[in-house]
Amino acid sequence: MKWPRRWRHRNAELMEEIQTHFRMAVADRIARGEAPEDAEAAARREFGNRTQVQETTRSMWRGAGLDAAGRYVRHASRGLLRSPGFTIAATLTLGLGIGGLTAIATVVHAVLLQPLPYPESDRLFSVPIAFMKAGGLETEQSDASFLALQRLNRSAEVLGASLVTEVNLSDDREPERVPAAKVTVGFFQVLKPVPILGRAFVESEDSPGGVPVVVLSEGLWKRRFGAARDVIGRTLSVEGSPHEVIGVMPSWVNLPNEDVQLWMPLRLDPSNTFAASSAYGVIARLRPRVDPKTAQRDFQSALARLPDLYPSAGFGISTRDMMAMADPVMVVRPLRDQVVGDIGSVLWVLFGTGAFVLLVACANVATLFLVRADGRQREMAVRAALGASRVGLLGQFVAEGMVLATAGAALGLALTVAGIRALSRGGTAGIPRLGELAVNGFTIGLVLILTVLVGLGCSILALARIRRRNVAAALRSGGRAATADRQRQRARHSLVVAQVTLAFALLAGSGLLARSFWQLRAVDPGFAGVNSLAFRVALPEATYPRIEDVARQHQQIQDRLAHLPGVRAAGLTSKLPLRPGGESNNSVWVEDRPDLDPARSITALVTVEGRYFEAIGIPVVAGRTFDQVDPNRSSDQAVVSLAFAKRTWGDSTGRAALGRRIRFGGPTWLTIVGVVGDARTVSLAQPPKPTAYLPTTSPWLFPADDAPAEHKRLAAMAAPRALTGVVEVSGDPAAITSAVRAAIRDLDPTIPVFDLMPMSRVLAASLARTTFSAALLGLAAALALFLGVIGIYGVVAYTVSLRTREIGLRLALGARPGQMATMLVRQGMTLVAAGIAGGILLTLFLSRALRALLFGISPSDPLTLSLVAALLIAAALIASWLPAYRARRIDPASVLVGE
Amino acid sequence: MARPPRYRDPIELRQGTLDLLILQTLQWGPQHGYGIANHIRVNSRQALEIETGTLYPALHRLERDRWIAAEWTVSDNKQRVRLYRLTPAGKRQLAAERSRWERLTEAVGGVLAPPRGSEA
Repeated sequence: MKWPRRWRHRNAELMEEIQTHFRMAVADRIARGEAPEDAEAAARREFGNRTQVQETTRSMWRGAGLDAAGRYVRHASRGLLRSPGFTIAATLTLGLGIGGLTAIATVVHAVLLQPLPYPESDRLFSVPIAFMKAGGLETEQSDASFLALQRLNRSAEVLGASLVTEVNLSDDREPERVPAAKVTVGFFQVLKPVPILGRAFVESEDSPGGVPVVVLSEGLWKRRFGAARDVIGRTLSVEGSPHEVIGVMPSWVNLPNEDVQLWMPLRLDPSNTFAASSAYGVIARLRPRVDPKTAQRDFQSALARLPDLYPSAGFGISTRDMMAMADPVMVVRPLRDQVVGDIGSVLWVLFGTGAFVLLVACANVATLFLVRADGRQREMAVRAALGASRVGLLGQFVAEGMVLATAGAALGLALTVAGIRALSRGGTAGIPRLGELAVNGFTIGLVLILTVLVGLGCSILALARIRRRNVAAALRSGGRAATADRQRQRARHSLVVAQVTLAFALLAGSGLLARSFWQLRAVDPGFAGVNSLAFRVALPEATYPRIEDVARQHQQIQDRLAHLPGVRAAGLTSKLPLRPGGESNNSVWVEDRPDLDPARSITALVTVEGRYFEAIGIPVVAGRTFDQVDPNRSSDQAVVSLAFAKRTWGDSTGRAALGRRIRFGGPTWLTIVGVVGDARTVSLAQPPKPTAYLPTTSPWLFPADDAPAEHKRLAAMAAPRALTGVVEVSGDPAAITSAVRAAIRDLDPTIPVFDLMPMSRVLAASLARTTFSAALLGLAAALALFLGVIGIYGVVAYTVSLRTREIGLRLALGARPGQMATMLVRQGMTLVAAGIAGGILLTLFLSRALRALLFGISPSDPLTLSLVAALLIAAALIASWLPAYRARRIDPASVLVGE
Repeated sequence: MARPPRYRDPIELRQGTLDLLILQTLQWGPQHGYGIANHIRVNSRQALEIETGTLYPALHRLERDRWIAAEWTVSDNKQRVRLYRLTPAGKRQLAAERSRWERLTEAVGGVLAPPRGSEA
């Protein structure tokens, strides 16, 4: 603090200078023969007001403006502290407005505006394929199309492909299963990230028979290797076979997805491709000065030659036919768009909302300012009469605005920090790059700019109004000259209507989501699972190379679990209800219904082991399940869901299905031995899919070598290495977790057991999306409601301040105070009614966007809408009643005498 | 905040005029505030009484504009005083102000005095 000290020093010097002057004047007078007392008195008279001399002199100094500003700020702070209600309301309003906008802007900045952290990232593009015959559906590429592209294109410097997968890690530590990616050598050559340690893959490592190597993510390196610098060259057991660690990538390398923990070389075999399967994410680094349009034409011409290079597409279809059926088109899209996904437009909408909310907040505070300024008209007039300059009055207003804006900004910054911490802690929540999110220079800079804008905006808006008034007239009439300026009043009214409209729409949205949430909770998931624990196990390929080994081991796991103390039933499944993945959707042929088109009767195929249905609590509707029959379970049996029976035979008892035969791609017929209840497989909101269950030992899963290729592929998909185990216990399911872990470790310590959770948690997690959206919208709605209430309060309070004299007169003429209050409240409620009408329209218009999140409730649900309207009316009544109540206490005598 | 009203002089001096007087006074050598006021009063034969409330703001303003500079010294009768002296920029300013003043007085004089040699 150098400046104030220098200031004090100069002040002392000035005092000394004036003091010396005074002494010299006295000395001169004495020298001229005056008596010392007379001389001093005369000099003092001549000298005038010493403090004033000092003050005037000081105002000449450099930096005097700052001193004055400091005085204004002190004065403004004192003034604001004297009206705490106004100050709190204004600070909260501005804080919420500034905080909201900066939080959203920080997210927008980090997610949308910052370039990707790779060198020359403007040359990076993702290259998906769109199937025009399927309505432009975009998917990944096939190995064949990627290889063709790599061979024939001329516009990319380098191309890379990736395949998302999961792998088992095991060494001396607890085995675990982690999200991973297999990538071609080109993948890291496209991105060019600088590794923390070691290197990326090189040519020889992605050709068949290359040395097994892995690149770790920063997260995995820290977690599993304690960030050891000497990790390079160490061995990590991936899928049961040793891999050499060759590099560590920084945490911001988030491709092909956010979750990826390690990268392994992807070995594509040009002699064995599968053009009909889209699984490979392709990225490209275009040559310098090649624009995406040119690249797209180039890539498309490479794709056109696909049938020449790879004539067979698999599934017995020729590549030429497949391309004619699907009409694939190469898409060249900035990599950032892929990383950001469709969250971009949502964020911009949020940003717009944030800006609007801040604008509304400013307008509200300006109205509050006016209310206050009107109450202080006399004070202002007195000040002006006492010689306060225009600049002085302006300074005082701006100082108050700035003090409020600063307090608001401090609050807003705190809110931003809290919000951003919550956002980045709350997982990535579907928004990419949130991990990189932090309050940074951008945020601080934005807050500072907003503070100045908001402070000036609020105060100058209010001041513009004051200046229109004749100071003298105001002094004479005590506010009589201040009649409501109709145009301004109308503008303020429309603002309040707009706020109520917005508040209504947001409240209605969150109300609808809340009711969807309750409806969803009431949905029967199709399984009881009260005392069930679910967990995943994955069998490494090195230890269990053949499907038969996998099946045998799964059987053993089930046996172990079933014999754990306290376990009532144990089973395994490829598909846990309400969890993603694990089922394959297939065409089904029904023996006695040849009239049904197999391609139109898609059925989910799920493999199960042990007493799965009992363990999870899916009821048997008709017949029996596998576990009740022959112990070797080798017959061609199937269990179907009730939905399957209904769709195929129109039978809701399930009995019609028993004994019928069905088949999936391949000649083997499977006999239906039982029908079970429908479980909500995808989500609570989606109706259950027709499902067929096969035992893990079903011979259908082990096609002979000469079986049709289609059967082989389906079988391979239906018999996964990673299954979900379910055990039902008699007590708290969480209590058995360590016993489950121990039992499986005892069987084979390299099998990872992960994602352990009670079925009740699975159920809660499936509600998370609705809960999250409802919470977010609820927050926005609360904000809008608060701002709306402040707005209504401001307008009514302003009216009261303008009409104080009129009200006083009316009261003096015999109007009852209650009548006055009613009149004022009615004025506020008229605005609210208009806002609610607008809000209903806006809700009906916007709820189309919400439809995907709503469940079992119409977007125009009358009950929700009327509840919201009631809430708004109640809040508005309070907001307008408060100032109205004050108005009824106006003392007519003092108002009239005050002339 | 209200700024206190300006002090008025017996003969109201315009700001530029006071500046000219101060600069002119300092042309004869460094001087403290009291000395400057005295010098102006004596040389104007008591007609111009510069009050402290006008003098010091003017001095500090001239100092801020770098036309005069100030330093603390000890006077003959052992008092610590703040002496002001003319800077080179101040000298140039003085010359400019003087010529402006002379042109002004000449013009005003021309208007006030009866026209000489005219063919009225």
